[in-house]
Amino acid sequence: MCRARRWHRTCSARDDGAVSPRWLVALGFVGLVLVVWLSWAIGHTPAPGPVVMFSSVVAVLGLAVGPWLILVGRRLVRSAAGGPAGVIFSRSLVFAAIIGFGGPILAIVALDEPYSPTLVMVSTAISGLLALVGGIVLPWGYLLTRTITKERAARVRAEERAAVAAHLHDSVLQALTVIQKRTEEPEVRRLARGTERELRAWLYGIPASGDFTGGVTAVAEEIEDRYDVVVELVTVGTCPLDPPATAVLGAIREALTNAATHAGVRRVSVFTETTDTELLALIRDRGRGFDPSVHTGPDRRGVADSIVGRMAQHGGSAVIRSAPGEGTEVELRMSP
Amino acid sequence: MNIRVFVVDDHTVVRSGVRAEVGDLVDIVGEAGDVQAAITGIRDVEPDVVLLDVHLPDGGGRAILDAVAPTHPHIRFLALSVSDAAEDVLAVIRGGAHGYVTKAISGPELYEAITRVHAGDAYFSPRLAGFVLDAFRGTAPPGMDPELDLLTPRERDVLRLVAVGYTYKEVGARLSISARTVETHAAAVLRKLRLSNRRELSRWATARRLI
Repeated sequence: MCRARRWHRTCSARDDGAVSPRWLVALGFVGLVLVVWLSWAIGHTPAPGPVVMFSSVVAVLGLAVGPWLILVGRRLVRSAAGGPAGVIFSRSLVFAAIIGFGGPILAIVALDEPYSPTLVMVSTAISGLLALVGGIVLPWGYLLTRTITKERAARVRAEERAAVAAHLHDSVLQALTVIQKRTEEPEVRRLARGTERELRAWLYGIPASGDFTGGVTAVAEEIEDRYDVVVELVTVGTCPLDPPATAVLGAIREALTNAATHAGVRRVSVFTETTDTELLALIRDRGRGFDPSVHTGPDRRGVADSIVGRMAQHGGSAVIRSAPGEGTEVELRMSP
Repeated sequence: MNIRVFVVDDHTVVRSGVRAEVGDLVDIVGEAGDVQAAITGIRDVEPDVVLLDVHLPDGGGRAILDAVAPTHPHIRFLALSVSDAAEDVLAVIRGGAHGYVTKAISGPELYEAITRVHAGDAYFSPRLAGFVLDAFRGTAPPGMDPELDLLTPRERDVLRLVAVGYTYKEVGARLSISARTVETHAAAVLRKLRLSNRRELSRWATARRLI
Protein backbone atom coordinates (compact mmCIF):
# COMPACT_ATOMS: atom_id res chain seq x y z
CA MET A 1 0.00 0.00 0.00
CA CYS A 2 2.68 2.41 1.13
CA ARG A 3 4.94 1.45 -1.71
CA ALA A 4 2.27 1.89 -4.29
CA ARG A 5 1.56 5.27 -2.87
CA ARG A 6 5.16 6.42 -3.07
CA TRP A 7 5.40 5.19 -6.61
CA HIS A 8 2.30 7.10 -7.48
CA ARG A 9 3.78 10.24 -5.98
CA THR A 10 7.02 10.08 -7.99
CA CYS A 11 4.92 9.40 -11.04
CA SER A 12 2.84 12.51 -10.58
CA ALA A 13 5.96 14.51 -9.72
CA ARG A 14 7.37 13.63 -13.12
CA ASP A 15 4.11 14.68 -14.71
CA ASP A 16 4.37 18.02 -12.99
CA GLY A 17 7.80 18.51 -14.59
CA ALA A 18 6.35 18.20 -18.12
CA VAL A 19 4.68 21.11 -19.89
CA SER A 20 1.01 21.21 -18.98
CA PRO A 21 -1.56 20.63 -21.76
CA ARG A 22 -2.89 24.15 -21.27
CA TRP A 23 0.48 25.68 -22.19
CA LEU A 24 0.81 23.34 -25.17
CA VAL A 25 -2.57 24.42 -26.50
CA ALA A 26 -1.60 28.09 -26.03
CA LEU A 27 1.70 27.53 -27.86
CA GLY A 28 -0.12 25.70 -30.65
CA PHE A 29 -2.48 28.63 -31.13
CA VAL A 30 0.45 31.09 -31.17
CA GLY A 31 1.98 28.91 -33.90
CA LEU A 32 -1.25 28.96 -35.92
CA VAL A 33 -1.43 32.76 -35.66
CA LEU A 34 2.18 32.96 -36.82
CA VAL A 35 1.38 30.74 -39.83
CA VAL A 36 -1.30 33.21 -40.88
CA TRP A 37 1.12 36.08 -40.37
CA LEU A 38 3.87 34.29 -42.33
CA SER A 39 1.65 33.52 -45.31
CA TRP A 40 0.68 37.20 -45.36
CA ALA A 41 4.32 38.30 -45.04
CA ILE A 42 5.49 36.07 -47.91
CA GLY A 43 3.05 37.72 -50.27
CA HIS A 44 3.39 41.30 -49.05
CA THR A 45 6.98 41.93 -47.96
CA PRO A 46 10.21 41.65 -49.89
CA ALA A 47 11.85 38.23 -49.42
CA PRO A 48 14.68 38.19 -46.87
CA GLY A 49 17.82 36.13 -47.32
CA PRO A 50 17.42 32.35 -47.77
CA VAL A 51 18.70 31.45 -44.31
CA VAL A 52 16.34 33.83 -42.49
CA MET A 53 13.50 32.73 -44.74
CA PHE A 54 14.12 29.02 -44.21
CA SER A 55 14.63 29.17 -40.48
CA SER A 56 11.58 31.35 -39.89
CA VAL A 57 9.39 28.98 -41.95
CA VAL A 58 10.71 25.97 -40.00
CA ALA A 59 10.28 27.75 -36.65
CA VAL A 60 6.71 28.87 -37.39
CA LEU A 61 5.63 25.48 -38.76
CA GLY A 62 7.27 23.73 -35.81
CA LEU A 63 5.42 25.96 -33.39
CA ALA A 64 2.12 25.42 -35.21
CA VAL A 65 2.39 21.63 -35.45
CA GLY A 66 4.72 20.61 -32.58
CA PRO A 67 2.47 21.26 -29.54
CA TRP A 68 -0.45 19.42 -31.12
CA LEU A 69 1.87 16.51 -31.96
CA ILE A 70 2.96 16.30 -28.33
CA LEU A 71 -0.65 16.37 -27.13
CA VAL A 72 -1.74 13.59 -29.48
CA GLY A 73 1.42 11.61 -28.69
CA ARG A 74 0.71 11.79 -24.96
CA ARG A 75 -2.86 10.61 -25.44
CA LEU A 76 -1.62 7.70 -27.57
CA VAL A 77 0.86 6.73 -24.85
CA ARG A 78 -1.76 7.08 -22.11
CA SER A 79 -4.35 4.96 -23.93
CA ALA A 80 -1.62 2.28 -24.19
CA ALA A 81 -2.19 0.32 -27.38
CA GLY A 82 -2.81 3.12 -29.86
CA GLY A 83 -3.40 0.46 -32.52
CA PRO A 84 -3.57 1.82 -36.08
CA ALA A 85 -3.47 5.38 -34.73
CA GLY A 86 -0.02 4.74 -33.23
CA VAL A 87 1.30 3.30 -36.50
CA ILE A 88 0.01 6.23 -38.56
CA PHE A 89 1.40 8.65 -35.98
CA SER A 90 4.95 7.27 -35.95
CA ARG A 91 5.18 6.67 -39.74
CA SER A 92 3.89 10.14 -40.53
CA LEU A 93 6.50 11.65 -38.25
CA VAL A 94 9.30 9.64 -39.88
CA PHE A 95 8.21 10.65 -43.40
CA ALA A 96 7.70 14.25 -42.33
CA ALA A 97 11.23 14.32 -40.92
CA ILE A 98 12.72 12.72 -44.07
CA ILE A 99 10.98 15.17 -46.39
CA GLY A 100 11.50 18.15 -44.11
CA PHE A 101 15.26 17.60 -43.79
CA GLY A 102 15.81 15.80 -47.10
CA GLY A 103 14.40 18.60 -49.30
CA PRO A 104 16.74 21.37 -48.13
CA ILE A 105 19.78 19.03 -48.02
CA LEU A 106 18.99 17.91 -51.57
CA ALA A 107 18.59 21.51 -52.63
CA ILE A 108 21.86 22.67 -51.09
CA VAL A 109 24.15 19.65 -51.52
CA ALA A 110 23.05 17.47 -54.41
CA LEU A 111 21.79 19.98 -56.98
CA ASP A 112 24.14 21.97 -59.16
CA GLU A 113 22.54 25.23 -58.47
CA PRO A 114 23.67 26.77 -55.21
CA TYR A 115 20.12 27.37 -53.97
CA SER A 116 16.62 26.32 -54.97
CA PRO A 117 14.09 28.23 -52.85
CA THR A 118 11.10 26.53 -54.42
CA LEU A 119 12.24 23.01 -53.52
CA VAL A 120 13.03 24.07 -49.96
CA MET A 121 9.68 25.75 -49.48
CA VAL A 122 7.71 22.90 -51.08
CA SER A 123 9.45 20.16 -49.07
CA THR A 124 8.98 22.10 -45.83
CA ALA A 125 5.31 22.64 -46.57
CA ILE A 126 4.76 18.97 -47.47
CA SER A 127 6.53 17.92 -44.30
CA GLY A 128 4.34 20.21 -42.21
CA LEU A 129 1.17 19.03 -43.93
CA LEU A 130 2.15 15.40 -43.43
CA ALA A 131 2.78 15.96 -39.75
CA LEU A 132 -0.55 17.78 -39.48
CA VAL A 133 -2.68 15.11 -41.15
CA GLY A 134 -0.84 11.91 -40.19
CA GLY A 135 0.39 13.01 -36.78
CA ILE A 136 -2.60 14.99 -35.53
CA VAL A 137 -5.86 14.78 -37.48
CA LEU A 138 -6.01 11.03 -38.18
CA PRO A 139 -4.85 9.73 -34.76
CA TRP A 140 -7.07 12.30 -33.01
CA GLY A 141 -10.07 11.20 -35.05
CA TYR A 142 -9.30 7.58 -34.31
CA LEU A 143 -9.04 8.17 -30.57
CA LEU A 144 -12.29 10.15 -30.62
CA THR A 145 -14.32 7.48 -32.42
CA ARG A 146 -12.85 4.79 -30.19
CA THR A 147 -13.93 6.73 -27.09
CA ILE A 148 -17.46 7.06 -28.47
CA THR A 149 -17.64 3.34 -29.27
CA LYS A 150 -16.34 2.50 -25.80
CA GLU A 151 -18.91 4.74 -24.15
CA ARG A 152 -21.71 3.18 -26.15
CA ALA A 153 -20.56 -0.32 -25.17
CA ALA A 154 -20.36 0.76 -21.54
CA ARG A 155 -23.91 2.11 -21.71
CA VAL A 156 -25.23 -1.14 -23.18
CA ARG A 157 -23.44 -3.07 -20.44
CA ALA A 158 -24.91 -0.79 -17.77
CA GLU A 159 -28.43 -1.32 -19.14
CA GLU A 160 -27.97 -5.08 -19.14
CA ARG A 161 -26.70 -4.93 -15.60
CA ALA A 162 -29.72 -2.85 -14.53
CA ALA A 163 -32.09 -5.42 -16.03
CA VAL A 164 -30.33 -8.24 -14.20
CA ALA A 165 -30.36 -6.20 -10.99
CA ALA A 166 -34.11 -5.57 -11.29
CA HIS A 167 -34.72 -9.29 -11.65
CA LEU A 168 -32.42 -10.04 -8.72
CA HIS A 169 -34.12 -7.47 -6.48
CA ASP A 170 -37.45 -9.05 -7.29
CA SER A 171 -36.05 -12.49 -6.46
CA VAL A 172 -34.67 -11.31 -3.13
CA LEU A 173 -37.92 -9.55 -2.17
CA GLN A 174 -39.76 -12.71 -3.18
CA ALA A 175 -37.50 -14.94 -1.08
CA LEU A 176 -37.86 -12.64 1.92
CA THR A 177 -41.66 -12.72 1.56
CA VAL A 178 -41.66 -16.52 1.44
CA ILE A 179 -39.40 -16.71 4.50
CA GLN A 180 -41.73 -14.46 6.50
CA LYS A 181 -44.77 -16.47 5.46
CA ARG A 182 -43.38 -19.91 6.22
CA THR A 183 -41.04 -19.65 9.19
CA GLU A 184 -42.20 -20.07 12.78
CA GLU A 185 -39.01 -18.57 14.22
CA PRO A 186 -39.68 -15.01 15.45
CA GLU A 187 -36.01 -14.06 15.11
CA VAL A 188 -35.81 -15.26 11.49
CA ARG A 189 -39.04 -13.43 10.71
CA ARG A 190 -37.70 -10.24 12.21
CA LEU A 191 -34.49 -10.54 10.24
CA ALA A 192 -36.33 -11.14 6.96
CA ARG A 193 -38.74 -8.28 7.66
CA GLY A 194 -35.93 -5.86 8.48
CA THR A 195 -34.00 -6.82 5.35
CA GLU A 196 -37.07 -6.48 3.17
CA ARG A 197 -37.73 -3.04 4.63
CA GLU A 198 -34.19 -1.88 3.92
CA LEU A 199 -34.26 -3.20 0.36
CA ARG A 200 -37.62 -1.58 -0.34
CA ALA A 201 -36.51 1.72 1.13
CA TRP A 202 -33.46 1.65 -1.13
CA LEU A 203 -35.39 0.57 -4.23
CA TYR A 204 -38.43 2.80 -3.94
CA GLY A 205 -37.10 5.70 -1.91
CA ILE A 206 -37.32 6.27 1.81
CA PRO A 207 -40.43 8.19 2.87
CA ALA A 208 -39.45 11.70 3.86
CA SER A 209 -38.90 11.61 7.59
CA GLY A 210 -40.12 14.49 9.68
CA ASP A 211 -43.60 14.54 8.13
CA PHE A 212 -46.70 12.62 9.16
CA THR A 213 -46.25 9.69 6.75
CA GLY A 214 -42.61 9.30 7.78
CA GLY A 215 -43.75 9.24 11.40
CA VAL A 216 -46.43 6.60 10.76
CA THR A 217 -43.91 4.43 8.88
CA ALA A 218 -41.47 4.68 11.80
CA VAL A 219 -44.20 3.79 14.34
CA ALA A 220 -45.28 0.79 12.21
CA GLU A 221 -41.70 -0.50 12.01
CA GLU A 222 -41.20 0.00 15.73
CA ILE A 223 -44.36 -2.02 16.54
CA GLU A 224 -43.36 -4.77 14.06
CA ASP A 225 -39.97 -5.17 15.68
CA ARG A 226 -41.15 -4.96 19.27
CA TYR A 227 -44.13 -7.34 19.08
CA ASP A 228 -43.24 -9.56 16.08
CA VAL A 229 -46.38 -8.66 14.13
CA VAL A 230 -46.86 -7.52 10.55
CA VAL A 231 -48.23 -4.00 10.18
CA GLU A 232 -49.78 -3.57 6.74
CA LEU A 233 -49.50 0.13 6.10
CA VAL A 234 -51.18 2.12 3.34
CA THR A 235 -50.71 5.89 3.36
CA VAL A 236 -52.27 8.53 1.12
CA GLY A 237 -50.83 12.03 1.21
CA THR A 238 -48.87 13.55 4.03
CA CYS A 239 -48.62 16.73 6.12
CA PRO A 240 -46.16 18.38 8.50
CA LEU A 241 -45.90 16.97 12.02
CA ASP A 242 -47.67 19.81 13.84
CA PRO A 243 -49.14 19.20 17.33
CA PRO A 244 -52.49 17.78 16.07
CA ALA A 245 -50.71 15.42 13.65
CA THR A 246 -48.36 14.38 16.44
CA ALA A 247 -51.38 13.63 18.62
CA VAL A 248 -52.82 11.40 15.86
CA LEU A 249 -49.44 9.68 15.59
CA GLY A 250 -49.47 9.03 19.35
CA ALA A 251 -53.01 7.64 19.14
CA ILE A 252 -51.98 5.35 16.24
CA ARG A 253 -49.11 4.05 18.35
CA GLU A 254 -51.50 3.35 21.25
CA ALA A 255 -53.98 1.57 18.98
CA LEU A 256 -51.23 -0.52 17.36
CA THR A 257 -49.71 -1.47 20.71
CA ASN A 258 -53.15 -2.42 21.91
CA ALA A 259 -53.79 -4.61 18.87
CA ALA A 260 -50.34 -6.21 18.98
CA THR A 261 -50.59 -7.13 22.66
CA HIS A 262 -54.28 -8.04 23.05
CA ALA A 263 -55.78 -9.06 19.71
CA GLY A 264 -53.91 -12.37 19.47
CA VAL A 265 -53.26 -12.09 15.72
CA ARG A 266 -50.04 -11.46 13.86
CA ARG A 267 -51.40 -8.93 11.35
CA VAL A 268 -52.65 -5.38 11.88
CA SER A 269 -53.69 -3.00 9.11
CA VAL A 270 -53.24 0.75 9.16
CA PHE A 271 -54.60 3.28 6.66
CA THR A 272 -53.92 7.01 6.84
CA GLU A 273 -55.18 9.72 4.53
CA THR A 274 -54.30 13.38 4.66
CA THR A 275 -56.45 15.91 2.80
CA ASP A 276 -56.72 19.69 3.05
CA THR A 277 -59.63 19.38 5.41
CA GLU A 278 -58.95 16.30 7.47
CA LEU A 279 -56.50 13.74 8.74
CA LEU A 280 -57.99 10.25 8.85
CA ALA A 281 -56.47 7.09 10.33
CA LEU A 282 -57.95 3.60 10.51
CA ILE A 283 -56.33 0.85 12.54
CA ARG A 284 -57.81 -2.60 12.26
CA ASP A 285 -57.16 -6.14 13.41
CA ARG A 286 -59.11 -9.37 13.00
CA GLY A 287 -58.35 -10.50 16.53
CA ARG A 288 -60.25 -11.25 19.69
CA GLY A 289 -62.09 -7.98 20.02
CA PHE A 290 -63.79 -6.79 23.20
CA ASP A 291 -66.99 -5.24 24.43
CA PRO A 292 -66.50 -1.47 24.38
CA SER A 293 -69.31 -0.93 26.88
CA VAL A 294 -67.53 -2.87 29.63
CA HIS A 295 -65.27 -0.55 31.61
CA THR A 296 -63.40 -3.07 33.71
CA GLY A 297 -61.78 -5.24 31.05
CA PRO A 298 -58.11 -6.11 31.45
CA ASP A 299 -56.74 -2.60 30.81
CA ARG A 300 -58.42 -2.42 27.39
CA ARG A 301 -60.84 0.30 28.30
CA GLY A 302 -57.96 2.27 29.79
CA VAL A 303 -56.08 2.23 26.52
CA ALA A 304 -59.23 3.14 24.65
CA ASP A 305 -59.69 6.11 26.96
CA SER A 306 -56.15 7.29 26.39
CA ILE A 307 -56.70 7.18 22.60
CA VAL A 308 -59.95 9.14 22.87
CA GLY A 309 -58.32 11.59 25.32
CA ARG A 310 -55.32 12.27 23.09
CA MET A 311 -57.56 13.06 20.13
CA ALA A 312 -60.03 15.18 22.09
CA GLN A 313 -57.23 17.37 23.45
CA HIS A 314 -56.59 18.70 19.93
CA GLY A 315 -60.20 18.84 18.79
CA GLY A 316 -60.18 15.44 17.07
CA SER A 317 -62.36 12.39 17.52
CA ALA A 318 -61.82 8.67 18.01
CA VAL A 319 -64.37 5.93 17.43
CA ILE A 320 -63.59 2.39 18.58
CA ARG A 321 -65.69 -0.38 17.03
CA SER A 322 -65.27 -3.83 18.49
CA ALA A 323 -67.17 -6.89 19.61
CA PRO A 324 -65.88 -10.12 21.14
CA GLY A 325 -64.58 -12.34 18.33
CA GLU A 326 -64.96 -9.71 15.64
CA GLY A 327 -61.71 -7.80 15.79
CA THR A 328 -61.25 -4.12 16.51
CA GLU A 329 -61.33 -1.01 14.39
CA VAL A 330 -60.10 2.35 15.60
CA GLU A 331 -61.11 5.37 13.55
CA LEU A 332 -59.25 8.64 14.20
CA ARG A 333 -60.23 11.98 12.67
CA MET A 334 -58.54 15.32 13.15
CA SER A 335 -59.24 18.65 11.42
CA PRO A 336 -56.23 20.90 11.12
CA MET B 1 -65.97 -27.11 -11.83
CA ASN B 2 -62.85 -25.45 -10.54
CA ILE B 3 -61.56 -22.20 -12.01
CA ARG B 4 -58.79 -22.84 -14.55
CA VAL B 5 -55.75 -20.70 -13.71
CA PHE B 6 -52.58 -19.95 -15.67
CA VAL B 7 -49.57 -18.59 -13.71
CA VAL B 8 -47.05 -16.24 -15.34
CA ASP B 9 -43.99 -15.41 -13.23
CA ASP B 10 -40.27 -15.51 -13.90
CA HIS B 11 -39.59 -16.77 -10.37
CA THR B 12 -40.12 -20.51 -9.91
CA VAL B 13 -40.55 -19.97 -6.18
CA VAL B 14 -43.68 -17.89 -6.89
CA ARG B 15 -45.16 -20.46 -9.25
CA SER B 16 -44.64 -23.27 -6.76
CA GLY B 17 -45.87 -20.99 -3.98
CA VAL B 18 -49.13 -20.33 -5.83
CA ARG B 19 -49.51 -24.07 -6.39
CA ALA B 20 -49.01 -24.72 -2.68
CA GLU B 21 -51.45 -21.99 -1.59
CA VAL B 22 -54.39 -22.43 -3.96
CA GLY B 23 -53.54 -25.58 -5.95
CA ASP B 24 -56.33 -27.53 -4.18
CA LEU B 25 -59.00 -24.90 -4.81
CA VAL B 26 -58.35 -24.11 -8.47
CA ASP B 27 -57.00 -26.05 -11.47
CA ILE B 28 -53.59 -24.75 -12.42
CA VAL B 29 -53.63 -25.51 -16.12
CA GLY B 30 -50.30 -24.02 -17.10
CA GLU B 31 -47.44 -21.76 -16.19
CA ALA B 32 -44.80 -19.71 -17.97
CA GLY B 33 -41.70 -17.78 -17.03
CA ASP B 34 -41.36 -15.34 -19.92
CA VAL B 35 -43.50 -13.24 -22.23
CA GLN B 36 -43.35 -15.41 -25.36
CA ALA B 37 -44.04 -18.69 -23.57
CA ALA B 38 -46.89 -17.02 -21.71
CA ILE B 39 -48.59 -15.71 -24.86
CA THR B 40 -48.34 -19.09 -26.61
CA GLY B 41 -49.42 -20.99 -23.49
CA ILE B 42 -52.40 -18.78 -22.69
CA ARG B 43 -53.66 -18.96 -26.29
CA ASP B 44 -53.25 -22.74 -26.21
CA VAL B 45 -55.10 -23.63 -22.99
CA GLU B 46 -57.47 -20.61 -22.82
CA PRO B 47 -57.64 -20.44 -18.99
CA ASP B 48 -60.33 -18.58 -17.03
CA VAL B 49 -57.90 -16.46 -15.04
CA VAL B 50 -54.26 -15.53 -15.62
CA LEU B 51 -52.11 -14.62 -12.60
CA LEU B 52 -49.77 -12.11 -14.14
CA ASP B 53 -46.44 -10.91 -12.76
CA VAL B 54 -46.08 -7.16 -13.30
CA HIS B 55 -42.32 -7.37 -13.82
CA LEU B 56 -41.11 -9.80 -16.47
CA PRO B 57 -38.09 -9.70 -18.75
CA ASP B 58 -38.90 -8.51 -22.32
CA GLY B 59 -41.78 -6.16 -21.72
CA GLY B 60 -43.46 -7.13 -18.47
CA GLY B 61 -47.04 -8.15 -17.83
CA ARG B 62 -48.23 -5.29 -20.00
CA ALA B 63 -46.83 -6.94 -23.15
CA ILE B 64 -48.84 -10.11 -22.46
CA LEU B 65 -52.02 -8.13 -21.81
CA ASP B 66 -51.60 -6.20 -25.05
CA ALA B 67 -51.08 -9.42 -27.00
CA VAL B 68 -53.81 -11.59 -25.49
CA ALA B 69 -56.58 -9.38 -24.08
CA PRO B 70 -57.90 -8.03 -27.43
CA THR B 71 -58.26 -11.50 -29.00
CA HIS B 72 -59.44 -13.34 -25.85
CA PRO B 73 -61.79 -10.97 -24.00
CA HIS B 74 -63.20 -13.76 -21.80
CA ILE B 75 -59.82 -14.38 -20.11
CA ARG B 76 -59.46 -12.36 -16.87
CA PHE B 77 -56.14 -11.09 -15.59
CA LEU B 78 -55.08 -10.64 -11.96
CA ALA B 79 -51.78 -8.78 -11.49
CA LEU B 80 -49.36 -10.14 -8.91
CA SER B 81 -46.22 -8.31 -7.82
CA VAL B 82 -43.67 -7.65 -5.10
CA SER B 83 -43.12 -4.24 -6.59
CA ASP B 84 -44.16 -1.06 -4.83
CA ALA B 85 -43.94 1.18 -7.89
CA ALA B 86 -47.41 2.70 -8.31
CA GLU B 87 -46.99 3.58 -11.98
CA ASP B 88 -46.20 -0.04 -12.92
CA VAL B 89 -49.23 -1.34 -11.07
CA LEU B 90 -51.57 1.26 -12.54
CA ALA B 91 -50.18 0.58 -16.03
CA VAL B 92 -51.21 -3.08 -15.78
CA ILE B 93 -54.67 -2.15 -14.48
CA ARG B 94 -55.10 0.32 -17.31
CA GLY B 95 -53.91 -2.38 -19.70
CA GLY B 96 -56.88 -4.53 -18.74
CA ALA B 97 -56.12 -6.42 -15.52
CA HIS B 98 -59.12 -6.73 -13.21
CA GLY B 99 -57.18 -6.52 -9.99
CA TYR B 100 -53.83 -6.36 -8.25
CA VAL B 101 -52.48 -8.26 -5.26
CA THR B 102 -49.07 -8.30 -3.61
CA LYS B 103 -47.20 -11.58 -3.34
CA ALA B 104 -47.38 -11.41 0.46
CA ILE B 105 -51.09 -12.28 0.12
CA SER B 106 -52.33 -15.33 2.03
CA GLY B 107 -53.81 -18.42 0.32
CA PRO B 108 -57.48 -17.73 1.20
CA GLU B 109 -57.17 -14.09 0.12
CA LEU B 110 -55.59 -15.11 -3.17
CA TYR B 111 -58.45 -17.55 -3.75
CA GLU B 112 -60.97 -14.81 -2.99
CA ALA B 113 -59.21 -12.52 -5.49
CA ILE B 114 -59.20 -15.21 -8.20
CA THR B 115 -62.91 -15.91 -7.64
CA ARG B 116 -63.80 -12.21 -7.83
CA VAL B 117 -61.80 -11.60 -10.98
CA HIS B 118 -63.27 -14.74 -12.56
CA ALA B 119 -66.78 -13.42 -11.86
CA GLY B 120 -65.83 -10.27 -13.76
CA ASP B 121 -65.53 -8.08 -10.67
CA ALA B 122 -62.68 -5.77 -9.78
CA TYR B 123 -60.37 -6.85 -6.98
CA PHE B 124 -58.50 -4.18 -5.09
CA SER B 125 -55.77 -5.12 -2.64
CA PRO B 126 -55.21 -2.62 0.20
CA ARG B 127 -52.16 -1.29 -1.59
CA LEU B 128 -53.97 -0.77 -4.88
CA ALA B 129 -56.82 0.99 -3.04
CA GLY B 130 -54.20 3.36 -1.59
CA PHE B 131 -52.66 3.98 -5.03
CA VAL B 132 -56.08 4.76 -6.48
CA LEU B 133 -57.06 7.15 -3.66
CA ASP B 134 -53.74 8.86 -4.14
CA ALA B 135 -54.22 9.10 -7.92
CA PHE B 136 -57.67 10.68 -7.60
CA ARG B 137 -56.75 13.14 -4.89
CA GLY B 138 -57.94 16.71 -4.95
CA THR B 139 -60.22 18.39 -7.44
CA ALA B 140 -60.39 17.84 -11.19
CA PRO B 141 -58.17 20.16 -13.23
CA PRO B 142 -60.10 22.63 -15.41
CA GLY B 143 -61.21 21.34 -18.79
CA MET B 144 -61.72 17.76 -17.65
CA ASP B 145 -64.99 15.99 -17.09
CA PRO B 146 -65.35 15.93 -13.30
CA GLU B 147 -67.83 13.05 -13.53
CA LEU B 148 -65.14 10.94 -15.10
CA ASP B 149 -62.13 11.99 -13.11
CA LEU B 150 -63.33 12.21 -9.55
CA LEU B 151 -64.44 9.50 -7.19
CA THR B 152 -67.76 9.87 -5.41
CA PRO B 153 -67.65 10.16 -1.59
CA ARG B 154 -69.14 6.64 -1.40
CA GLU B 155 -66.45 5.20 -3.67
CA ARG B 156 -63.82 6.84 -1.46
CA ASP B 157 -65.40 5.32 1.65
CA VAL B 158 -65.29 1.88 0.03
CA LEU B 159 -61.64 2.27 -1.01
CA ARG B 160 -60.62 3.47 2.47
CA LEU B 161 -62.08 0.37 4.09
CA VAL B 162 -60.49 -1.87 1.44
CA ALA B 163 -57.17 -0.12 2.14
CA VAL B 164 -57.36 -1.20 5.78
CA GLY B 165 -58.00 -4.83 4.86
CA TYR B 166 -61.81 -5.26 4.83
CA THR B 167 -63.38 -7.73 2.38
CA TYR B 168 -66.23 -6.49 0.18
CA LYS B 169 -68.71 -8.26 2.43
CA GLU B 170 -67.30 -6.57 5.51
CA VAL B 171 -67.26 -3.22 3.73
CA GLY B 172 -70.94 -3.68 2.95
CA ALA B 173 -71.79 -4.52 6.56
CA ARG B 174 -69.73 -1.59 7.87
CA LEU B 175 -71.37 0.93 5.50
CA SER B 176 -74.82 -0.66 5.74
CA ILE B 177 -75.02 -1.39 2.02
CA SER B 178 -75.19 -4.72 0.20
CA ALA B 179 -72.09 -6.57 -0.97
CA ARG B 180 -73.42 -6.23 -4.52
CA THR B 181 -73.42 -2.43 -4.17
CA VAL B 182 -69.82 -2.57 -2.98
CA GLU B 183 -68.95 -4.55 -6.11
CA THR B 184 -70.71 -1.94 -8.25
CA HIS B 185 -68.65 0.81 -6.61
CA ALA B 186 -65.44 -1.16 -7.19
CA ALA B 187 -66.33 -1.68 -10.85
CA ALA B 188 -67.02 2.06 -11.25
CA VAL B 189 -63.63 2.91 -9.74
CA LEU B 190 -61.92 0.49 -12.10
CA ARG B 191 -63.68 2.07 -15.07
CA LYS B 192 -62.71 5.59 -14.00
CA LEU B 193 -59.15 4.43 -13.51
CA ARG B 194 -59.01 3.18 -17.10
CA LEU B 195 -60.73 6.21 -18.62
CA SER B 196 -59.03 8.94 -16.62
CA ASN B 197 -56.59 11.26 -18.25
CA ARG B 198 -53.43 9.34 -18.92
CA ARG B 199 -51.21 12.39 -18.65
CA GLU B 200 -52.61 13.36 -15.27
CA LEU B 201 -51.95 9.90 -13.88
CA SER B 202 -48.43 9.67 -15.19
CA ARG B 203 -47.66 13.14 -13.88
CA TRP B 204 -48.91 12.08 -10.51
CA ALA B 205 -46.82 8.91 -10.64
CA THR B 206 -43.69 10.84 -11.53
CA ALA B 207 -44.26 13.34 -8.74
CA ARG B 208 -44.80 10.54 -6.27
CA ARG B 209 -41.54 8.91 -7.19
CA LEU B 210 -39.71 12.16 -6.63
CA ILE B 211 -41.00 12.55 -3.07
